[in-house]
Amino acid sequence: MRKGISYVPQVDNVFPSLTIQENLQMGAFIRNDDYGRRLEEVYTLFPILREREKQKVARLSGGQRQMVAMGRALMLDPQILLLDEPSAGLAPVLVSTIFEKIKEINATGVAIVIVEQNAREALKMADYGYVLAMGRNVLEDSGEALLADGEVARLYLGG
Amino acid sequence: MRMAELVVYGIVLGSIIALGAIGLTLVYGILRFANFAHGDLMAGGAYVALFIVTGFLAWIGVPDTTFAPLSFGWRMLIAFPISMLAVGSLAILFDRLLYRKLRIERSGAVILAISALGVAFIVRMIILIIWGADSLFYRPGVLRPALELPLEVKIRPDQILILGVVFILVSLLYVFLQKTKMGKAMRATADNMELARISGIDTERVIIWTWGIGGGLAAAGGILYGIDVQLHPYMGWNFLLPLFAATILGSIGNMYGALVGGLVIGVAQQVSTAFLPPTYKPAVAFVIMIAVLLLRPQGIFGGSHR
Repeated sequence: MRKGISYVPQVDNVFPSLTIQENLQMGAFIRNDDYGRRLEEVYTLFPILREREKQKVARLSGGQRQMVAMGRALMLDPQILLLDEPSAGLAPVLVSTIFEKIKEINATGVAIVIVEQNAREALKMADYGYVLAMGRNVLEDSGEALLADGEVARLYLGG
Repeated sequence: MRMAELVVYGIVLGSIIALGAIGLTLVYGILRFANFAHGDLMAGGAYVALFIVTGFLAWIGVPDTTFAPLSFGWRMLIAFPISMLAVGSLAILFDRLLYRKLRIERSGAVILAISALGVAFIVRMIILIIWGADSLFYRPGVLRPALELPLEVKIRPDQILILGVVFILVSLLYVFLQKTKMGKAMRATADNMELARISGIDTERVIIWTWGIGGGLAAAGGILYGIDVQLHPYMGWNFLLPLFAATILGSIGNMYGALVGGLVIGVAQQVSTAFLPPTYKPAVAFVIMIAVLLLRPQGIFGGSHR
């Protein structure tokens, strides 16, 4: 974490009884400097979080919780962000919103590593992909090339 | 009307129970650990204060005068915070020496509960060895006149002060939990310790703070009970049932629930003496606890999340 890697687990990735603002503050727990500017940047990325900053996270929707979770992880201004199944359990319309946000985060210069079951969507935006089967790396290539690979499509993307 | 008086006495007792129950619920919220030694931490606090008042402060010559209508004076004022600090430190010490090791070994809830019971016996036996089995007072022989309030409620100035002290302590804790970084980290850790660690929160430090605060509040509760009633080696044991009843009633892990639960149990226990012999007071707490567990096991403030 001090080396600039932040992690967002797939489930239980927010503090439900804390407010949005408190969740983000906890993300900056090990920072002893003023994190106010970073908070502003995260709010700029997720404007909805600023609007509801005093609300308890328990009352938010799944998509908003996912944003809180990513915002919390971003508070340390990491170089690498690990996302475990960011689209899991989200409605399809929200999935594309979350993926949009991931692209925006990436554009700010954060390298992102995603483990994702929604492989087609993830590969579309990925620069580079690895296909893991039974815990072993069986294939790796650019996202586009993997998408175009007939075998990958047949075996892992459902035809 | 005697009932009004019983309700007032119940609020006084309940506020003392609440101090213990809040600590119990904080520790449970963070560590998922039922601390059966919490009542004896309260007793420990009461006796540490007794040692300071009648031993140390008498020895260094602090005058034994009392503040006009109250039954105690400077000595208690000095002893109160010192005892809170001492018992808070003692609770942290037990955690470092014992519970932490069991946590690292991933011991089950039963082993933790039994070892807490062991700690309870140790504290109680130390009290028995030093002070014997008799009831004691902080200041024997002091007159404790009661004030006459409307509705024929008789209340001692001490009891009004007890309510004030509990109010101040609970307010301070509220501000700590809501406004400070460590307080927020405590709530975050209670929500999800794994995620707290991932976020970089030093959860061991959070645990130390939790024991310190829980122990300090327990000591405060024990001393206030000693001021209101008397000190007895088994007072901690007798508090255990009301503490757990209050904690469960207010939803385990919920500080505000523990406060309300403590007041409800205190009032129920005192009001019951209008119908039942006072020896049945613990049974009242027990019945409430069983009823809550049967009808609404998540307590009245049961969270919707998770």
